[in-house]
Amino acid sequence: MRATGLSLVSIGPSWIEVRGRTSTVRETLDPSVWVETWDDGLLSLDGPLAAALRSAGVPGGARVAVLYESPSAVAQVVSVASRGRAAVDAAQLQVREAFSLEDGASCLAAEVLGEDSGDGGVRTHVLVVADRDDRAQVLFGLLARLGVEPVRMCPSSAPLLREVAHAARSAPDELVLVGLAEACTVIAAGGGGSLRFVRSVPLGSDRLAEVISQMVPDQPGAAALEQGQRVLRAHGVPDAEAPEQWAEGLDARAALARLQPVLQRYGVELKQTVRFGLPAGSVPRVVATGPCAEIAGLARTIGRHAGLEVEPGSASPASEPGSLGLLPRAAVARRTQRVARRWMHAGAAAAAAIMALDAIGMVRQSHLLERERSAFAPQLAGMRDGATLDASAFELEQRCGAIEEALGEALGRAPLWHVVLAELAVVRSAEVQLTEITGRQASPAPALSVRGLAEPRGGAKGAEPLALYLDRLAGSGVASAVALESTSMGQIAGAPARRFEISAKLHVLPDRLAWFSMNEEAR
Amino acid sequence: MHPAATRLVLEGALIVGALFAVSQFVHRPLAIELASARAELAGELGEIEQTEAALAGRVDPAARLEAARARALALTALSGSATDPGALYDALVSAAERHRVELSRIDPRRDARAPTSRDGRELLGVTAYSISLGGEYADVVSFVRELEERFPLTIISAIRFTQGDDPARPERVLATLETAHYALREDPMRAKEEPS
Repeated sequence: MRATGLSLVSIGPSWIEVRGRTSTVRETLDPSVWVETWDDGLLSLDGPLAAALRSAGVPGGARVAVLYESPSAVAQVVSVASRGRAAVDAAQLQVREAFSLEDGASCLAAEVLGEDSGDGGVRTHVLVVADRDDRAQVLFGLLARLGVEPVRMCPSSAPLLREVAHAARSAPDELVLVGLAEACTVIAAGGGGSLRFVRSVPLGSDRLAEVISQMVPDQPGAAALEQGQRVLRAHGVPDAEAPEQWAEGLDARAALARLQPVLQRYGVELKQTVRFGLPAGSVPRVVATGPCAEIAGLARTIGRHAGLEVEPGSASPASEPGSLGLLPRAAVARRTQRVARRWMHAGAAAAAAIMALDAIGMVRQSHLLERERSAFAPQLAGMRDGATLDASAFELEQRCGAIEEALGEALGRAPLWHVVLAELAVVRSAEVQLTEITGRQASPAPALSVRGLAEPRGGAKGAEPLALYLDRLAGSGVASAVALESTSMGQIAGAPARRFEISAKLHVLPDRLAWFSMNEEAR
Repeated sequence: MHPAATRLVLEGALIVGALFAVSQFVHRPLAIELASARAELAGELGEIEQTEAALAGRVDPAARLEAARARALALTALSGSATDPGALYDALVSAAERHRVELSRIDPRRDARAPTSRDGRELLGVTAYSISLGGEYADVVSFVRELEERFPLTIISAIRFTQGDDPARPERVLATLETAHYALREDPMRAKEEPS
């Protein structure tokens, strides 16, 4: 398993390599059919790559990072005099122009390696990778056919470019690094936190192995190349002092003669790069690095051809693409849609969850409210009953009040006649004879009229029976305003008498209804 | 538009539609139900508060109703048979016999009117008579007393006593009484609201 969690698939002209969960599997290819392989849509790689994936324990559906070579793949460090996004855009534009990559038919990616500030202003070093979109689509299709999902595809020289550039820039003193790899060579100069140049040359150790393989008789291309690589790794680059039977029966002198053009090209590329990239007269320290730096004699031989002393360095660990990667436009669109769909689903799920939580909250609140209502329902029912009883009582009181008021009006102004009549008899003396008593209800008080005859005798103290009768009547308590209305002469049994008429006002009971009630109770 | 993008848009529309449907058919009714429950709770709390305030310091409603019923029963008990002229006539005759009073005439009076309530309802019925009678003064007074004490809701609105014309019976009087006998038209506990 890779540190990034992704399996790594590496495809080059002479190799297929899969670093999977369990192991790393490498398959050697015949580099002479590389261009044809691409032209055929990489169909011929289906079998070997499927086997390698299987052997490396990469399961179906696994996400993989891809390092690859293609006839049109580009990896280049561009230094531009701007910063940030503008620097990236400028670098991409520069690469697109330099390699004639059309805007709609290519895919690019960039990574800022660092910024240098000097007398000439700011320079941003941008690592740009690019390829034709159709080529990227072919590679993507190959991996998709085999059931894995490429998440980033990167030209194989890009990681070496990044590593060598970083190493040169971070060197304490001026330094030229020569990154040696199977398919390319990266030359970078820098030091003290700045980077002078970085250059990638499409020349790798596989070219040396390929030359050695041409000396192997009766071997198919891939097997011969594998043997060449093995010889190169085991015995290095031969020199003039090498024994005649150099390695695996190969003649050292013949091998050296065949390797000379390739080694000379190494030397020329290094010499020219240093000559044009560094100030004239400077003698930099040159160190070899990269996965092929430990091939014996390679660094020294390149140095001799370049007229420089190249120190053999230690081999850097296997390169990984990092975050830099290309994807065909269609894949990007699909990924964008997939991401959009995921976000949409996530949003919908979140909305559904919020709604569900809200609904649960509302249901709970409803239950709480219902519980609260049921808690004081008896109190409310009691109050309602109380209010109903109170309203009924009020209504009944109103009715009773109205009846009592009507009865009071009907009964209120009548005196108790039997009391009056009894009192009239009680206060009458034998000398007074009543001939007519009339009484009636009247306002403000009942009126009484009494007519009769009284004997006219009497004394000085007014003891006349009529006067006495008047006094008694007035003091009886049943009448008030007792007045003698008229008198005239008459007779009683032939004897002279006073005919009189008395008027009076009668008292009434203050509460006749209560009196009736009292009588009712008495009954 | 690219078919995949179209599918994405359709999928999005479907999801939005589904969420909207859930919102309309599940969420909204719940929200309405909750709002209704809140409103009912607030209403009930307000009702409790108002009822408490209204009943504060008042007599216990049950006791109050009981008292009102007793009052109504008392009124009902007071109400007699004034609306039944036959029974009233019989009672008058019986009373006259008990008090040795001779009834010569009992004429209904048409001029008597029972008072109405303030809102114009006729709560009382009235039967009125003009009663002519004769007898000893004390007997007549006794008869009058029975009318006033024993006859329910009865008043005598006018009297006229004259001396009898028999010299042998100087205490005999002739009297005319105008009576009014009131009665409740309805049981107060069963009364219905009448249009005013």
